[in-house]
Formats: sequence, C-alpha cells, structure tokens
Amino acid sequence: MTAQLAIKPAPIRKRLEIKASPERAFEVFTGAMGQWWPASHSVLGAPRKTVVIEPQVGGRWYEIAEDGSTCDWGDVAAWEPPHRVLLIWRLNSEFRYDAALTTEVEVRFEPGPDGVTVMEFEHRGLENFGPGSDKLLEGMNQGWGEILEGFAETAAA
Amino acid sequence: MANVSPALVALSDPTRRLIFERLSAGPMAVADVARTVPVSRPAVSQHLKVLKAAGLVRDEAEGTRRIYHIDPAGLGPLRAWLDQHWDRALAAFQTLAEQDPSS
Repeated sequence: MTAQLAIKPAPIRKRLEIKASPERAFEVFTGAMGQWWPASHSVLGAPRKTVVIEPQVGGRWYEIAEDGSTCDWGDVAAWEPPHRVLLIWRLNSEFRYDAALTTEVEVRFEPGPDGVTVMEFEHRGLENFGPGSDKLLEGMNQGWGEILEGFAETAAA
Repeated sequence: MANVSPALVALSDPTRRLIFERLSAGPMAVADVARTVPVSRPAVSQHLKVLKAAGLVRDEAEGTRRIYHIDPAGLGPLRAWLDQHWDRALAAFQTLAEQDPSS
C-alpha cells in the first residue's frame, strides 16, 4: 500500500542503567536470552525452550522450542564483547522469518558512574517492515485483542 | 506492571482498530469515518480523540470539517507493539543481569 511508504517510524531507543558489569550485561543479553525473553511471544507454535545467538559475526540468532524445532530470528552483524553487539532482526509483522527483511538491533554497554553499566538500545530500520500494519491489525483482531485488552485493563486500574 | 504504550491501549479497542484501518486507506473527514463504522458519530469523535492522543492519527481543518489521517511520522501499531515488547524484554533482562551470578 503506497501510503505506508510515507510512514517512516522513528527507531525504538531505550537507555537503562544496569547494576552489573558490562561483561555480565553482555553475557546475559547474548548468552541467556531464552531466560528473559517474554514467554508469551513465541514465534513457533510449541513453547520456547531457549534462544541462541551464535557468538560471532554471521552467527545465527534463533529460537529452539520444547519439541526441538527451531526458527531463525536473524543473525549477528557485529560482535564486540563486552561493549557492543549488532543483531539483524528478520521477523516480519506476522512474526515470520523473512531472510530479505533487515532491521537492526544495536546494543551498547558502557561503564557508567558508581559501577553501573549504561545500556543503550536501538531497534531501527522499522520502515523496512513495509506495509505490515494491516496484518498486525488483523492479528490484533484475531488473537491479540485479548492480550491488548489485558494491558488496557491493567493500565486503567 | 510497566507502562503500557498509549498506542497499544488505543488499539486494544476493536472499533478503534477499525477506524484506524479506515484511515490507513487515506485521509477522511469525521462524518465520512462515521458512515463506515457501526457506531454513532459522537462515539467516532471520541475514538478519534483517543487515537490522536496516542500519536496514531492527526487532524487538520478543511474549511469547517476536520480531516483525520494516519500520522506519517508517528507511532504505527507495529512500532507501538515493538516498543512495548522491548520495554518488557529489557526489564526482564535487567532483572536477570542484576542478579548475583553465583546465586
């Protein structure tokens, strides 16, 4: 839909102060993602068992389900422990892997004051999702309406 | 619970999703939107206010009419969902990273 091309969403940026070393933060981010990634959003049908980021440029980034099946999420574009990792997120608006889709997730860990690690997070290239809003709205209508209504109730409480 | 993105709250209502979809096809006056959805005109105006407050749509005067359109620089539903998702994911990451690794 041509109207979608005019929409250039701003990157998602987050800044957190982590009470841990950059090394620990990097290790947990890249090596333990399956332990912190929200469980309700598995790409695969089966429950997620873990998420793997292969620790090198070109490494695979993928999910393993309880039944052993796997699904790629993307790959590693830059690997600079403990200060920087750049991942390519290739899940489209229907949460299916698309090898031709490139959005970038860049994470930096820098020492901050008082032993804190400053984490700078950016997910950019969102315009590359293309005309995906329609499908997302459909998905919301079909299944996520419940999740979203749950959010709305909690937010209003 | 952590902040909920206003855009997601806005889109949690099925009628507002419908209105947002209508506007995805192109700018529309309030009266024209009201003709295409099964709710009253005042209800449509209220829904549009919520969508506007959430940064999903914008409006302009055209003579005496108000024309609504998707905000071209604003938060579309996918970005809103991703933003919310990353808030949750990074909060969980922070909790785990700050745990004593020996525990």
